[in-house]
Amino acid sequence: MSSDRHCLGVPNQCDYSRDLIARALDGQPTLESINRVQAELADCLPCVQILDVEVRFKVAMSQACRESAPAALQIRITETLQRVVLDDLDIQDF
Amino acid sequence: MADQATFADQAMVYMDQLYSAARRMTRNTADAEDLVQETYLRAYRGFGNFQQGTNLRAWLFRILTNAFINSYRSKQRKPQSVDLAGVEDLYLHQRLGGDVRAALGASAEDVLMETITESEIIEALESLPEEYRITVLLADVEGFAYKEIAEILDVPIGTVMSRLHRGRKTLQKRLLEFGTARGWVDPPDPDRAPASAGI
Repeated sequence: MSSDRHCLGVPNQCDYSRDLIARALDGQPTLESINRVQAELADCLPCVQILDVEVRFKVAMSQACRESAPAALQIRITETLQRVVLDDLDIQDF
Repeated sequence: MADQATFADQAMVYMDQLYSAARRMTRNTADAEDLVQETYLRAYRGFGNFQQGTNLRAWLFRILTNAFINSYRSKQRKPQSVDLAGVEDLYLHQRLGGDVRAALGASAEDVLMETITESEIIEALESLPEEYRITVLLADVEGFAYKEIAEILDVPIGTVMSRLHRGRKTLQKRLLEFGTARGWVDPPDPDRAPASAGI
């Protein structure tokens, strides 16, 4: 990142903080990667607060939306795939 | 080239993740189960073209997303109308504070995140328009990187960023509405001048 880029101190008014916060949320952030971005934004308290809320929000979303596939579905798909494999073998036999 | 004989061993471990995503996409159990089954069948048929060593999880999600868009969405019930206007100006941290912070002696963000129920988060997510819902789902629930999401959805990365921004802000707006209904989030102040650009 070029040295002329810096936070303007007003959240959402500059590409610098916007890019940093987007980077912090990319993929599966680690505590280390979040802390690193937080340190870069340390002079802008509102930016740090936005980052905090966005990270919490991402974690809450991830936790709320996790579900296990029903056991019956797993059996159904396994059996379907086995049947397809057998059908393919039959076709190759002819 | 991948060997079809190894498909089940490699792909079945992703079933819970695919099912979770299918539930949020289709918003009902029966369609979600059919969608996941169709995804596995399509993936098995196409596994010979999968490049071993590349990202199998992303490849499966691409098949899931395409199957949903091509086969399922036409019969989906329409989501509740969601107003995306004004979400650019929403900053959650600015709206949390005052009485809540003083009364509880705790971070208002903690209060919001700990009080909102999982079913409210799911309701908010499922109320998003499809293109925003899928993008937020892939980013925040499944933890895909922006670049991977662009490949899964076959859209430019700028489109991913834009959908994510608006989708997240819209979700936060819905969560604020839940909080406002409970009386511990200040209602919107029409006199407050919003900032001009969003993160």
